Amino acid sequence: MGHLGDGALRRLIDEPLAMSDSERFHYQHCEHCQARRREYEAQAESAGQLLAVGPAEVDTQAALRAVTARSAHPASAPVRLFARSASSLNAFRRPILIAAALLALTSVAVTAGPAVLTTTIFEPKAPVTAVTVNPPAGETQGAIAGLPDLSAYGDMTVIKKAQTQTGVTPDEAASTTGLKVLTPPAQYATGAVTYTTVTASEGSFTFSKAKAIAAAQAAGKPAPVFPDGIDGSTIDVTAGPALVEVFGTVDKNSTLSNLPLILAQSKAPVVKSTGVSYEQLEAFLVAQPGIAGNPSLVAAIHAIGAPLAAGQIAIPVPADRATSKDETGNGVPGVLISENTGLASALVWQKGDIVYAAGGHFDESQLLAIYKSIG
Amino acid sequence: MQAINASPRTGVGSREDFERLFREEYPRVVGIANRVLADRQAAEDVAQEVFVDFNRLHRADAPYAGPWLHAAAAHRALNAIRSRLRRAKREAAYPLPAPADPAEEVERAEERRLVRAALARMPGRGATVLALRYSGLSYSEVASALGVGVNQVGTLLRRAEAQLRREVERGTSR
Repeated sequence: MGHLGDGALRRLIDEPLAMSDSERFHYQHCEHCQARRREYEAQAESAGQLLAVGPAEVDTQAALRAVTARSAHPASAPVRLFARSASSLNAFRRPILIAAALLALTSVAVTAGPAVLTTTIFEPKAPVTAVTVNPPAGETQGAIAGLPDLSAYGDMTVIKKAQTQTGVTPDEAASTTGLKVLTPPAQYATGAVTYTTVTASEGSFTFSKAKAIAAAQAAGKPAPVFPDGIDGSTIDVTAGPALVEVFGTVDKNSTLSNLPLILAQSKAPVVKSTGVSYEQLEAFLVAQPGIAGNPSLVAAIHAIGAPLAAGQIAIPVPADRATSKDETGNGVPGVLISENTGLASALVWQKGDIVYAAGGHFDESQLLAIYKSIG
Repeated sequence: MQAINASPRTGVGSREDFERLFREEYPRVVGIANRVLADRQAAEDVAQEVFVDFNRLHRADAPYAGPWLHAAAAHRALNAIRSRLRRAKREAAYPLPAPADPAEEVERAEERRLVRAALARMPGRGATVLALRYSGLSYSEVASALGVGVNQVGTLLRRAEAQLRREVERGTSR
Protein backbone atom coordinates (compact mmCIF):
# COMPACT_ATOMS: atom_id res chain seq x y z
CA MET A 1 0.00 0.00 0.00
CA GLY A 2 1.05 3.63 -0.45
CA HIS A 3 2.05 5.97 2.35
CA LEU A 4 -0.52 6.78 4.99
CA GLY A 5 -2.57 9.92 4.56
CA ASP A 6 -2.19 13.00 6.77
CA GLY A 7 -5.46 12.30 8.53
CA ALA A 8 -4.64 8.69 9.38
CA LEU A 9 -1.23 9.68 10.75
CA ARG A 10 -2.70 12.48 12.80
CA ARG A 11 -5.36 10.21 14.24
CA LEU A 12 -2.70 7.65 15.11
CA ILE A 13 -1.35 10.13 17.66
CA ASP A 14 -4.68 10.48 19.46
CA GLU A 15 -6.53 7.27 18.74
CA PRO A 16 -3.97 4.60 17.83
CA LEU A 17 -6.49 1.78 18.12
CA ALA A 18 -8.50 3.23 15.22
CA MET A 19 -5.78 2.22 12.75
CA SER A 20 -6.44 -0.78 10.54
CA ASP A 21 -4.09 -3.77 10.52
CA SER A 22 -2.80 -2.99 7.04
CA GLU A 23 -2.14 0.65 7.97
CA ARG A 24 -0.35 -0.44 11.11
CA PHE A 25 1.82 -2.91 9.17
CA HIS A 26 2.80 -0.20 6.69
CA TYR A 27 3.51 2.32 9.40
CA GLN A 28 5.74 -0.03 11.36
CA HIS A 29 7.91 -0.61 8.28
CA CYS A 30 7.91 2.91 6.77
CA GLU A 31 10.44 5.43 8.04
CA HIS A 32 8.88 8.15 5.88
CA CYS A 33 5.50 7.78 7.58
CA GLN A 34 7.14 7.55 11.00
CA ALA A 35 8.99 10.82 10.36
CA ARG A 36 5.77 12.55 9.28
CA ARG A 37 4.03 11.29 12.38
CA ARG A 38 6.79 12.81 14.55
CA GLU A 39 6.37 16.11 12.72
CA TYR A 40 2.61 16.07 13.25
CA GLU A 41 3.05 15.12 16.88
CA ALA A 42 5.29 18.15 17.44
CA GLN A 43 2.67 20.37 15.77
CA ALA A 44 -0.06 18.87 17.94
CA GLU A 45 1.97 19.39 21.09
CA SER A 46 2.58 23.01 20.13
CA ALA A 47 -1.13 23.55 19.42
CA GLY A 48 -2.00 21.94 22.73
CA GLN A 49 0.26 24.37 24.57
CA LEU A 50 -1.13 27.37 22.69
CA LEU A 51 -4.71 26.32 23.37
CA ALA A 52 -4.20 25.45 27.03
CA VAL A 53 -6.73 27.16 29.32
CA GLY A 54 -7.52 27.04 32.99
CA PRO A 55 -10.07 24.56 34.33
CA ALA A 56 -13.71 25.43 33.66
CA GLU A 57 -15.44 24.05 36.72
CA VAL A 58 -19.15 24.70 36.60
CA ASP A 59 -22.17 24.57 38.88
CA THR A 60 -24.42 22.60 36.57
CA GLN A 61 -27.45 22.78 38.85
CA ALA A 62 -27.29 26.57 39.15
CA ALA A 63 -26.75 26.88 35.41
CA LEU A 64 -29.76 24.65 34.76
CA ARG A 65 -31.92 26.91 36.91
CA ALA A 66 -30.70 29.96 35.00
CA VAL A 67 -31.34 28.38 31.60
CA THR A 68 -34.78 27.12 32.66
CA ALA A 69 -35.71 30.61 33.83
CA ARG A 70 -34.47 32.19 30.61
CA SER A 71 -36.34 29.63 28.52
CA ALA A 72 -39.57 30.30 30.40
CA HIS A 73 -39.15 34.08 30.34
CA PRO A 74 -37.18 35.04 27.24
CA ALA A 75 -37.42 38.70 28.20
CA SER A 76 -35.15 38.02 31.16
CA ALA A 77 -32.33 37.07 28.85
CA PRO A 78 -29.60 39.69 28.44
CA VAL A 79 -30.71 42.51 26.18
CA ARG A 80 -29.10 41.94 22.82
CA LEU A 81 -30.91 44.32 20.58
CA PHE A 82 -29.55 43.41 17.19
CA ALA A 83 -27.53 40.34 17.84
CA ARG A 84 -30.45 38.12 18.65
CA SER A 85 -33.17 39.46 16.46
CA ALA A 86 -31.38 40.30 13.28
CA SER A 87 -28.31 38.18 13.10
CA SER A 88 -29.93 34.85 13.83
CA LEU A 89 -32.56 33.55 11.51
CA ASN A 90 -33.30 30.92 14.13
CA ALA A 91 -34.69 33.78 16.15
CA PHE A 92 -37.42 34.37 13.57
CA ARG A 93 -39.73 32.32 15.68
CA ARG A 94 -42.31 35.03 15.92
CA PRO A 95 -43.57 37.41 13.31
CA ILE A 96 -42.66 40.35 15.48
CA LEU A 97 -39.03 39.27 15.30
CA ILE A 98 -39.27 39.13 11.54
CA ALA A 99 -40.13 42.81 11.70
CA ALA A 100 -37.19 43.47 13.98
CA ALA A 101 -34.88 41.78 11.53
CA LEU A 102 -36.44 43.55 8.60
CA LEU A 103 -35.81 46.84 10.30
CA ALA A 104 -32.19 45.89 10.19
CA LEU A 105 -31.99 43.87 7.02
CA THR A 106 -34.62 44.95 4.55
CA SER A 107 -35.53 48.48 5.44
CA VAL A 108 -36.14 51.17 2.95
CA ALA A 109 -33.39 52.90 1.07
CA VAL A 110 -34.70 56.41 1.45
CA THR A 111 -31.70 58.11 -0.02
CA ALA A 112 -29.50 55.16 -0.82
CA GLY A 113 -27.06 55.33 -3.68
CA PRO A 114 -24.14 53.11 -4.52
CA ALA A 115 -21.63 55.92 -4.17
CA VAL A 116 -22.82 56.92 -0.71
CA LEU A 117 -20.59 55.62 2.04
CA THR A 118 -23.09 55.75 4.88
CA THR A 119 -26.79 55.98 4.22
CA THR A 120 -29.75 56.06 6.53
CA ILE A 121 -31.93 53.23 5.27
CA PHE A 122 -34.58 53.27 7.95
CA GLU A 123 -35.79 56.15 10.08
CA PRO A 124 -39.47 56.27 11.00
CA LYS A 125 -41.23 59.11 9.23
CA ALA A 126 -44.89 58.01 9.26
CA PRO A 127 -47.36 56.65 11.83
CA VAL A 128 -46.92 53.16 13.22
CA THR A 129 -48.89 50.55 11.33
CA ALA A 130 -49.92 46.91 11.76
CA VAL A 131 -49.54 44.11 9.24
CA THR A 132 -51.58 40.92 9.37
CA VAL A 133 -49.25 38.01 8.88
CA ASN A 134 -50.26 34.78 7.17
CA PRO A 135 -49.72 31.94 7.73
CA PRO A 136 -50.37 32.05 11.48
CA ALA A 137 -47.45 32.16 13.85
CA GLY A 138 -47.32 28.44 14.51
CA GLU A 139 -47.03 27.53 10.84
CA THR A 140 -44.45 30.20 10.20
CA GLN A 141 -42.44 28.95 13.08
CA GLY A 142 -42.56 25.37 11.87
CA ALA A 143 -41.50 26.39 8.40
CA ILE A 144 -38.45 28.28 9.57
CA ALA A 145 -37.17 25.89 12.20
CA GLY A 146 -34.48 24.48 9.92
CA LEU A 147 -33.26 27.73 8.41
CA PRO A 148 -29.60 28.73 8.45
CA ASP A 149 -28.20 30.85 11.25
CA LEU A 150 -27.70 34.38 9.91
CA SER A 151 -25.22 35.15 12.66
CA ALA A 152 -22.82 32.96 10.70
CA TYR A 153 -23.27 35.19 7.64
CA GLY A 154 -20.92 37.85 8.93
CA ASP A 155 -19.53 39.53 11.99
CA MET A 156 -21.62 41.22 14.65
CA THR A 157 -20.20 44.00 16.75
CA VAL A 158 -22.02 45.48 19.71
CA ILE A 159 -20.79 49.05 19.65
CA LYS A 160 -22.86 50.21 22.56
CA LYS A 161 -24.51 47.63 24.78
CA ALA A 162 -27.91 48.34 26.27
CA GLN A 163 -27.95 48.46 30.04
CA THR A 164 -31.20 47.51 31.76
CA GLN A 165 -32.14 48.69 35.24
CA THR A 166 -35.34 47.79 37.07
CA GLY A 167 -36.73 49.37 40.19
CA VAL A 168 -35.35 52.85 39.67
CA THR A 169 -37.12 55.99 40.84
CA PRO A 170 -39.10 58.15 38.39
CA ASP A 171 -36.39 60.82 38.55
CA GLU A 172 -33.66 58.29 37.86
CA ALA A 173 -35.71 56.84 35.00
CA ALA A 174 -36.11 60.26 33.42
CA SER A 175 -32.48 61.26 33.84
CA THR A 176 -31.12 57.89 32.62
CA THR A 177 -33.20 57.82 29.46
CA GLY A 178 -33.92 61.46 28.75
CA LEU A 179 -37.57 60.40 28.33
CA LYS A 180 -40.54 61.90 30.13
CA VAL A 181 -42.15 59.69 32.79
CA LEU A 182 -45.82 59.17 31.85
CA THR A 183 -48.63 59.53 34.39
CA PRO A 184 -51.89 57.82 33.37
CA PRO A 185 -55.33 58.53 34.89
CA ALA A 186 -55.52 57.24 38.45
CA GLN A 187 -58.31 54.73 37.77
CA TYR A 188 -56.06 52.75 35.42
CA ALA A 189 -52.91 52.91 37.55
CA THR A 190 -54.04 50.78 40.44
CA GLY A 191 -50.84 49.00 41.51
CA ALA A 192 -47.39 50.02 42.66
CA VAL A 193 -45.32 51.33 39.74
CA THR A 194 -42.13 49.62 38.65
CA TYR A 195 -39.85 51.65 36.37
CA THR A 196 -37.41 49.87 34.07
CA THR A 197 -34.90 51.72 31.93
CA VAL A 198 -32.89 50.55 28.95
CA THR A 199 -30.04 52.71 27.73
CA ALA A 200 -29.39 53.41 24.06
CA SER A 201 -27.65 50.67 22.14
CA GLU A 202 -25.86 50.33 18.86
CA GLY A 203 -24.72 47.33 16.88
CA SER A 204 -23.28 46.71 13.47
CA PHE A 205 -23.20 43.66 11.26
CA THR A 206 -20.76 43.11 8.41
CA PHE A 207 -21.69 40.46 5.86
CA SER A 208 -19.00 37.94 4.93
CA LYS A 209 -19.61 35.58 2.04
CA ALA A 210 -16.57 33.44 2.85
CA LYS A 211 -17.64 33.03 6.44
CA ALA A 212 -21.22 32.22 5.49
CA ILE A 213 -20.14 29.52 3.05
CA ALA A 214 -17.75 28.00 5.60
CA ALA A 215 -20.41 28.04 8.31
CA ALA A 216 -22.99 26.44 6.05
CA GLN A 217 -20.54 23.69 5.11
CA ALA A 218 -19.64 23.09 8.74
CA ALA A 219 -23.32 22.85 9.69
CA GLY A 220 -24.19 20.66 6.71
CA LYS A 221 -26.62 23.32 5.44
CA PRO A 222 -27.17 24.42 1.85
CA ALA A 223 -24.78 27.07 0.58
CA PRO A 224 -25.98 30.62 1.25
CA VAL A 225 -26.85 32.93 -1.62
CA PHE A 226 -25.01 36.26 -1.79
CA PRO A 227 -26.32 38.62 -4.46
CA ASP A 228 -23.80 41.18 -5.69
CA GLY A 229 -23.06 44.02 -3.29
CA ILE A 230 -23.84 42.25 -0.04
CA ASP A 231 -20.43 40.78 0.78
CA GLY A 232 -18.48 43.23 2.94
CA SER A 233 -21.35 45.65 3.42
CA THR A 234 -22.15 46.84 6.93
CA ILE A 235 -25.45 47.65 8.58
CA ASP A 236 -25.54 49.76 11.70
CA VAL A 237 -28.57 49.89 13.98
CA THR A 238 -29.17 52.29 16.84
CA ALA A 239 -32.10 52.00 19.21
CA GLY A 240 -33.31 53.27 22.55
CA PRO A 241 -33.14 54.55 25.16
CA ALA A 242 -36.40 53.09 26.43
CA LEU A 243 -38.54 53.37 29.54
CA VAL A 244 -41.16 50.87 30.73
CA GLU A 245 -43.66 51.58 33.49
CA VAL A 246 -45.66 48.68 34.96
CA PHE A 247 -48.58 49.71 37.17
CA GLY A 248 -48.91 46.48 39.16
CA THR A 249 -47.34 43.04 39.12
CA VAL A 250 -46.36 40.93 36.13
CA ASP A 251 -45.08 37.50 37.05
CA LYS A 252 -45.65 33.83 36.33
CA ASN A 253 -49.18 34.06 37.74
CA SER A 254 -50.15 36.85 35.38
CA THR A 255 -52.75 36.10 32.72
CA LEU A 256 -54.38 38.19 30.05
CA SER A 257 -57.32 38.77 32.39
CA ASN A 258 -55.26 40.36 35.15
CA LEU A 259 -52.58 42.09 33.12
CA PRO A 260 -51.96 45.55 34.63
CA LEU A 261 -51.36 48.71 32.67
CA ILE A 262 -47.97 48.73 30.99
CA LEU A 263 -46.65 51.91 29.40
CA ALA A 264 -43.58 51.71 27.23
CA GLN A 265 -41.71 54.29 25.20
CA SER A 266 -38.56 54.09 23.17
CA LYS A 267 -36.61 56.21 20.76
CA ALA A 268 -37.32 54.61 17.40
CA PRO A 269 -34.57 52.57 15.76
CA VAL A 270 -32.47 54.02 12.97
CA VAL A 271 -30.70 51.81 10.46
CA LYS A 272 -27.72 52.91 8.41
CA SER A 273 -25.79 51.04 5.79
CA THR A 274 -22.54 51.40 3.90
CA GLY A 275 -24.25 52.04 0.60
CA VAL A 276 -26.12 48.77 0.21
CA SER A 277 -29.66 49.36 -1.00
CA TYR A 278 -33.05 48.19 0.21
CA GLU A 279 -33.54 46.13 -2.93
CA GLN A 280 -30.24 44.33 -2.41
CA LEU A 281 -30.98 43.54 1.23
CA GLU A 282 -34.47 42.25 0.61
CA ALA A 283 -33.26 40.16 -2.32
CA PHE A 284 -30.56 38.77 -0.05
CA LEU A 285 -32.99 37.73 2.67
CA VAL A 286 -35.63 36.12 0.49
CA ALA A 287 -33.01 34.29 -1.62
CA GLN A 288 -31.64 32.29 1.30
CA PRO A 289 -32.07 28.52 1.38
CA GLY A 290 -35.16 27.67 3.37
CA ILE A 291 -36.82 31.00 2.57
CA ALA A 292 -36.70 31.04 -1.23
CA GLY A 293 -38.71 27.82 -1.45
CA ASN A 294 -41.29 28.94 1.08
CA PRO A 295 -43.77 31.27 -0.65
CA SER A 296 -45.73 32.01 2.54
CA LEU A 297 -42.61 33.11 4.40
CA VAL A 298 -41.49 35.24 1.45
CA ALA A 299 -44.95 36.79 1.40
CA ALA A 300 -44.76 37.53 5.12
CA ILE A 301 -41.39 39.21 4.68
CA HIS A 302 -42.67 41.33 1.80
CA ALA A 303 -45.85 42.20 3.73
CA ILE A 304 -43.84 43.48 6.67
CA GLY A 305 -41.23 45.08 4.44
CA ALA A 306 -43.71 47.20 2.48
CA PRO A 307 -44.57 49.66 5.28
CA LEU A 308 -40.90 49.80 6.23
CA ALA A 309 -40.28 50.98 2.70
CA ALA A 310 -42.61 53.87 3.47
CA GLY A 311 -40.72 54.76 6.63
CA GLN A 312 -43.28 53.17 8.95
CA ILE A 313 -42.59 50.90 11.89
CA ALA A 314 -44.58 47.74 11.13
CA ILE A 315 -46.06 45.62 13.88
CA PRO A 316 -46.81 42.11 12.62
CA VAL A 317 -50.08 40.70 13.89
CA PRO A 318 -50.52 36.92 13.57
CA ALA A 319 -53.84 36.36 11.84
CA ASP A 320 -54.89 33.57 14.18
CA ARG A 321 -54.13 35.38 17.42
CA ALA A 322 -54.95 39.05 17.22
CA THR A 323 -56.57 41.77 15.19
CA SER A 324 -55.45 45.29 14.47
CA LYS A 325 -57.24 48.57 13.83
CA ASP A 326 -55.97 51.83 12.44
CA GLU A 327 -56.64 54.51 15.06
CA THR A 328 -55.69 57.59 13.04
CA GLY A 329 -59.42 58.27 12.65
CA ASN A 330 -59.60 58.64 16.44
CA GLY A 331 -56.74 61.10 16.42
CA VAL A 332 -54.09 58.56 17.41
CA PRO A 333 -51.06 58.27 15.11
CA GLY A 334 -50.94 54.51 15.45
CA VAL A 335 -52.82 51.25 15.80
CA LEU A 336 -54.81 49.21 18.28
CA ILE A 337 -53.89 45.53 18.54
CA SER A 338 -56.40 43.30 20.28
CA GLU A 339 -55.85 39.74 21.35
CA ASN A 340 -58.58 37.50 19.92
CA THR A 341 -60.22 36.66 23.23
CA GLY A 342 -60.68 40.36 23.89
CA LEU A 343 -58.95 40.10 27.25
CA ALA A 344 -55.96 42.26 26.38
CA SER A 345 -55.18 45.05 23.95
CA ALA A 346 -52.40 47.48 23.23
CA LEU A 347 -52.34 50.88 21.61
CA VAL A 348 -49.11 51.71 19.80
CA TRP A 349 -48.36 55.14 18.44
CA GLN A 350 -45.50 57.37 17.44
CA LYS A 351 -44.77 61.02 18.05
CA GLY A 352 -41.62 62.55 16.67
CA ASP A 353 -38.87 59.98 17.05
CA ILE A 354 -40.47 58.25 20.04
CA VAL A 355 -42.66 55.13 19.81
CA TYR A 356 -45.17 54.63 22.63
CA ALA A 357 -47.26 51.64 23.69
CA ALA A 358 -49.99 51.30 26.31
CA GLY A 359 -51.39 47.86 26.96
CA GLY A 360 -52.98 45.48 29.45
CA HIS A 361 -56.38 44.07 30.36
CA PHE A 362 -58.18 47.02 28.76
CA ASP A 363 -60.55 47.64 25.87
CA GLU A 364 -60.32 50.19 23.09
CA SER A 365 -62.22 52.96 24.90
CA GLN A 366 -60.07 52.63 28.00
CA LEU A 367 -56.83 52.71 26.00
CA LEU A 368 -58.05 55.76 24.05
CA ALA A 369 -58.76 57.48 27.38
CA ILE A 370 -55.26 56.66 28.55
CA TYR A 371 -53.84 57.97 25.27
CA LYS A 372 -55.75 61.22 25.56
CA SER A 373 -54.40 61.66 29.05
CA ILE A 374 -50.74 61.00 28.27
CA GLY A 375 -50.41 61.11 24.48
CA MET B 1 -48.98 42.74 22.88
CA GLN B 2 -49.17 39.56 24.87
CA ALA B 3 -50.93 37.79 22.04
CA ILE B 4 -48.18 38.48 19.53
CA ASN B 5 -45.61 36.82 21.67
CA ALA B 6 -47.70 33.78 22.48
CA SER B 7 -46.47 31.49 19.75
CA PRO B 8 -45.90 27.82 20.52
CA ARG B 9 -42.41 26.45 20.93
CA THR B 10 -41.00 23.93 18.52
CA GLY B 11 -38.55 22.59 21.06
CA VAL B 12 -41.23 20.93 23.11
CA GLY B 13 -40.02 17.77 24.77
CA SER B 14 -40.11 16.45 28.25
CA ARG B 15 -38.55 18.51 30.98
CA GLU B 16 -36.75 15.41 32.18
CA ASP B 17 -35.14 14.90 28.79
CA PHE B 18 -33.87 18.46 28.74
CA GLU B 19 -32.51 18.27 32.28
CA ARG B 20 -30.75 15.00 31.50
CA LEU B 21 -29.25 16.47 28.34
CA PHE B 22 -28.19 19.58 30.23
CA ARG B 23 -26.45 17.63 33.00
CA GLU B 24 -24.68 15.43 30.50
CA GLU B 25 -23.54 18.13 28.12
CA TYR B 26 -23.29 21.43 29.98
CA PRO B 27 -19.74 20.95 31.36
CA ARG B 28 -18.52 19.89 27.95
CA VAL B 29 -20.25 22.77 26.15
CA VAL B 30 -18.69 25.22 28.62
CA GLY B 31 -15.34 23.51 28.02
CA ILE B 32 -15.56 24.04 24.27
CA ALA B 33 -16.45 27.71 24.66
CA ASN B 34 -13.73 28.17 27.27
CA ARG B 35 -11.14 26.63 24.95
CA VAL B 36 -11.90 29.39 22.48
CA LEU B 37 -12.50 32.28 24.87
CA ALA B 38 -10.07 31.48 27.71
CA ASP B 39 -12.67 33.11 29.95
CA ARG B 40 -14.78 30.79 32.09
CA GLN B 41 -17.54 33.28 32.85
CA ALA B 42 -17.91 34.28 29.21
CA ALA B 43 -17.85 30.58 28.32
CA GLU B 44 -20.73 29.91 30.69
CA ASP B 45 -22.69 32.78 29.12
CA VAL B 46 -22.12 31.29 25.68
CA ALA B 47 -23.06 27.79 26.86
CA GLN B 48 -26.29 29.01 28.44
CA GLU B 49 -27.27 30.90 25.30
CA VAL B 50 -26.62 27.75 23.29
CA PHE B 51 -28.88 25.69 25.55
CA VAL B 52 -31.63 28.34 25.56
CA ASP B 53 -31.61 28.38 21.77
CA PHE B 54 -31.54 24.61 21.55
CA ASN B 55 -34.45 24.31 23.97
CA ARG B 56 -36.51 26.70 21.89
CA LEU B 57 -35.85 25.02 18.59
CA HIS B 58 -35.27 21.34 19.16
CA ARG B 59 -36.40 18.38 21.18
CA ALA B 60 -34.00 17.33 23.92
CA ASP B 61 -34.22 13.71 22.84
CA ALA B 62 -33.18 14.53 19.27
CA PRO B 63 -30.37 12.22 18.16
CA TYR B 64 -28.33 15.19 16.97
CA ALA B 65 -28.57 17.06 20.28
CA GLY B 66 -24.96 16.56 21.37
CA PRO B 67 -23.32 17.36 18.01
CA TRP B 68 -25.60 20.41 17.61
CA LEU B 69 -24.63 21.76 21.03
CA HIS B 70 -20.91 21.15 20.44
CA ALA B 71 -20.85 22.87 17.06
CA ALA B 72 -23.00 25.75 18.29
CA ALA B 73 -20.71 26.34 21.28
CA ALA B 74 -17.63 26.51 19.07
CA HIS B 75 -19.26 28.76 16.49
CA ARG B 76 -20.75 31.13 19.04
CA ALA B 77 -17.52 31.42 21.00
CA LEU B 78 -15.56 32.08 17.81
CA ASN B 79 -18.09 34.73 16.82
CA ALA B 80 -17.58 36.30 20.23
CA ILE B 81 -13.81 36.60 19.89
CA ARG B 82 -14.14 37.89 16.33
CA SER B 83 -16.43 40.61 17.60
CA ARG B 84 -14.09 41.38 20.46
CA LEU B 85 -11.18 41.80 18.12
CA ARG B 86 -12.96 44.63 16.42
CA ARG B 87 -12.78 46.57 19.59
CA ALA B 88 -9.12 47.14 20.20
CA LYS B 89 -9.68 48.68 23.57
CA ARG B 90 -11.27 45.55 24.87
CA GLU B 91 -8.87 43.20 23.17
CA ALA B 92 -6.44 43.22 26.04
CA ALA B 93 -9.13 42.58 28.60
CA TYR B 94 -9.22 38.80 28.49
CA PRO B 95 -9.20 37.76 32.12
CA LEU B 96 -6.39 35.44 33.11
CA PRO B 97 -5.49 33.44 36.16
CA ALA B 98 -3.11 35.63 38.13
CA PRO B 99 0.40 34.22 38.30
CA ALA B 100 2.68 35.35 41.07
CA ASP B 101 5.24 36.88 38.74
CA PRO B 102 4.06 40.11 37.03
CA ALA B 103 6.45 39.59 34.11
CA GLU B 104 5.04 36.13 33.58
CA GLU B 105 1.54 37.55 33.79
CA VAL B 106 2.26 40.01 31.00
CA GLU B 107 3.83 37.29 28.87
CA ARG B 108 0.90 34.93 29.35
CA ALA B 109 -1.62 37.66 28.65
CA GLU B 110 0.14 38.48 25.40
CA GLU B 111 0.30 34.85 24.33
CA ARG B 112 -3.39 34.32 25.01
CA ARG B 113 -4.24 37.47 23.10
CA LEU B 114 -2.21 36.27 20.14
CA VAL B 115 -3.83 32.84 20.19
CA ARG B 116 -7.35 34.29 20.39
CA ALA B 117 -6.54 36.66 17.51
CA ALA B 118 -5.11 33.75 15.51
CA LEU B 119 -8.25 31.66 16.09
CA ALA B 120 -10.40 34.58 15.01
CA ARG B 121 -8.46 34.96 11.76
CA MET B 122 -8.55 31.29 10.81
CA PRO B 123 -10.98 30.72 7.94
CA GLY B 124 -13.30 27.78 7.44
CA ARG B 125 -13.53 24.97 9.93
CA GLY B 126 -10.00 25.16 11.30
CA ALA B 127 -10.75 27.02 14.51
CA THR B 128 -13.87 24.95 15.12
CA VAL B 129 -12.09 21.62 14.79
CA LEU B 130 -9.38 22.83 17.19
CA ALA B 131 -11.93 23.97 19.75
CA LEU B 132 -13.80 20.68 19.60
CA ARG B 133 -10.83 18.32 19.60
CA TYR B 134 -8.82 20.17 22.26
CA SER B 135 -11.91 20.20 24.47
CA GLY B 136 -11.70 16.43 24.58
CA LEU B 137 -14.18 15.35 21.92
CA SER B 138 -13.30 12.08 20.17
CA TYR B 139 -12.72 12.01 16.42
CA SER B 140 -16.16 10.48 16.03
CA GLU B 141 -17.78 13.27 18.08
CA VAL B 142 -15.91 15.97 16.17
CA ALA B 143 -17.07 14.38 12.91
CA SER B 144 -20.69 14.42 14.07
CA ALA B 145 -20.49 18.06 15.15
CA LEU B 146 -18.93 19.14 11.86
CA GLY B 147 -21.07 16.90 9.68
CA VAL B 148 -18.04 15.24 8.05
CA GLY B 149 -16.75 11.67 7.85
CA VAL B 150 -14.61 10.53 10.75
CA ASN B 151 -11.70 9.93 8.38
CA GLN B 152 -11.66 13.62 7.48
CA VAL B 153 -11.15 14.78 11.05
CA GLY B 154 -7.47 13.94 11.22
CA THR B 155 -6.78 15.83 8.01
CA LEU B 156 -8.75 18.88 9.16
CA LEU B 157 -7.05 18.79 12.54
CA ARG B 158 -3.52 18.53 11.17
CA ARG B 159 -4.09 21.43 8.80
CA ALA B 160 -5.65 23.49 11.55
CA GLU B 161 -2.74 22.88 13.91
CA ALA B 162 -0.24 23.96 11.28
CA GLN B 163 -2.40 26.96 10.44
CA LEU B 164 -2.71 27.98 14.09
CA ARG B 165 1.06 28.01 14.45
CA ARG B 166 1.42 30.11 11.29
CA GLU B 167 -1.24 32.57 12.42
CA VAL B 168 0.31 32.97 15.87
CA GLU B 169 3.72 33.59 14.29
CA ARG B 170 2.13 36.06 11.92
CA GLY B 171 0.63 37.90 14.86
CA THR B 172 3.94 37.88 16.72
CA SER B 173 5.84 39.36 13.79
CA ARG B 174 3.45 42.31 13.42
